[in-house]
Amino acid sequence: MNVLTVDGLVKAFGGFRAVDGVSFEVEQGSIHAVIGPNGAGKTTLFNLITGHLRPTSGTVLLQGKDVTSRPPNVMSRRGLTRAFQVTNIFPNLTVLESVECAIDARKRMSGSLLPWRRREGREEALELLDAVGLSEMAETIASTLSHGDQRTLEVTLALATRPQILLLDEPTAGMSPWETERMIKLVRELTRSRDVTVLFCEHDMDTVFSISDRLTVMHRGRVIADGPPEQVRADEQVISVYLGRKEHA
Amino acid sequence: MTVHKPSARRVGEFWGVPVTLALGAALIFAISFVVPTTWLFFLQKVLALGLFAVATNLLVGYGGMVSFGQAVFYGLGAYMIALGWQHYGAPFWLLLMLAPLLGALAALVIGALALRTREFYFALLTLAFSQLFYTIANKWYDFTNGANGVFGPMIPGAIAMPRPGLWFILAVTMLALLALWAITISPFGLTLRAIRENQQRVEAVGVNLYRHKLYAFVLSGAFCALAGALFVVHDQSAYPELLDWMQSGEPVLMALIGGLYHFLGPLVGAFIFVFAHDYLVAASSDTWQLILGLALVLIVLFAPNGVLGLWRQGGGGGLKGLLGRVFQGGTHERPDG
Repeated sequence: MNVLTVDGLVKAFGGFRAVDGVSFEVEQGSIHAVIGPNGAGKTTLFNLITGHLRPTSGTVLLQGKDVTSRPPNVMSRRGLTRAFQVTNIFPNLTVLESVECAIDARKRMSGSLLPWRRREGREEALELLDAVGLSEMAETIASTLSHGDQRTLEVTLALATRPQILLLDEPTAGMSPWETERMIKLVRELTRSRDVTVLFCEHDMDTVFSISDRLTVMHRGRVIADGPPEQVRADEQVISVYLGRKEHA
Repeated sequence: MTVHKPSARRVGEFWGVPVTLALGAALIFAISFVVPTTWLFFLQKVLALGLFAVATNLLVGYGGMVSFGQAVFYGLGAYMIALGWQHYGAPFWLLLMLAPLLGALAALVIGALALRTREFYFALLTLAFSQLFYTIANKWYDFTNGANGVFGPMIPGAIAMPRPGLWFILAVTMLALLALWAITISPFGLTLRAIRENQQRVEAVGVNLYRHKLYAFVLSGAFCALAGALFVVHDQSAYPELLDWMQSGEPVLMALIGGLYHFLGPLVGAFIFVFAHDYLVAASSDTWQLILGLALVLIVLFAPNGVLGLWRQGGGGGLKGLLGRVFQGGTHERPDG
């Protein structure tokens, strides 16, 4: 069953088509990677799916329902959440407060004026922080965390909304090998224990091939290959535009 | 599954504000029996303006929305009491309850328009509304008495005298401050701070930005109007200047002086502001603006977190350290370091 279907998405900035008729499907419970060289249109594609940008044409279906151009907060409520490429946290809130805020939003309690309603969110936040290995940092100001921990918090904020599908934009960018490994473990664990589908884009090929169930390869705004890792690895067009280039470098 | 014990710091954070408020209220009540009448009036003014400043800071310090139009609601609260008395002979107690409702309603309309814009334009639009309401109060002579304002025995005799008047203002202000404080530590208060920190992110976790900002604007408007109504208990008059942009700027300055990022900062700022204003103006009225300007420059450059921020930086032992820890409660942003 497909949790997400992208059909004929186009985004034109003036005459330039950053995303040029992209279609693919994301299967429930899978880890699906979108790869491609710089400027292939991956981030634009993500922005179209999450509602941060309005597509020129094409549709996005979530669980079979048309959600094209819905604003990000609505997408989040419908079960599609993203973590950002540039670390995007609440600098002066504590780690615990940040996660609480996301949980309150999911429980539709963000508007509650009753102080004791914080408790539910706080308890769930502590459990979640425990699960992702950040519980020691609960009382730390988010902006003072290490880069890797900030990335983990970023993903935790997305997780707190209990997404059916989680979009990760280069989750291991700028991470140390150890941090990358931890992030990969986290993503793997998620799909299994929390039944989260993951759609991510990534530069690091080792990460991509080690955890993805399926790959969609983009080049100049178009999809040039789509399939399981071994099939994509053998694809001649992919080798010439992307993997091949890496070997020459 | 970790067991999370509330740390000593968290307990201090929770009780810091209500305990400080209770002690402050007890102190004011006690000295009200011994101090001269001028002090009673001074404290009345500090409390009314302090509530105004704390309510304004819900937007500025907590939500990161700099409004230069909060005097619209403050002035409306004042005029609610004055005009309700003058034109309809309505009882004060009813008008006191209607004032926050009027403030909320006005904030709903103004906020719905102003919050369509962002930051700089939002500040300008709120300022424009302030001038608009000032002009209406000034020109609509038949209804508002124009620039003369409304004077008269609009306050019940029981609270018209300085001492009972102070007690009344003290009681209402404390209840209102406790309500505001509860709001700041509620899920909504947390969401508001998250909005200040990162709008894009808070939207991505599923929060409707516009709706929550408007909610904050309406709440702030209601409490600003209540503060305006209390000002009438103090001054027993209402006049157009209560609505204008100078008046709108005052609570923002008070919050800046006392500390934007502490719940009680604006209250401390109101005390300093009114004290300086009343006593320096008495000394020489020409230099007030100069001194105010100079003080603000110094604060922005050397104490961007206000007077309470200076205290918190202290830490360590002794009285300074103790006060520092007491004031830690109510802090809603901890600057790095």
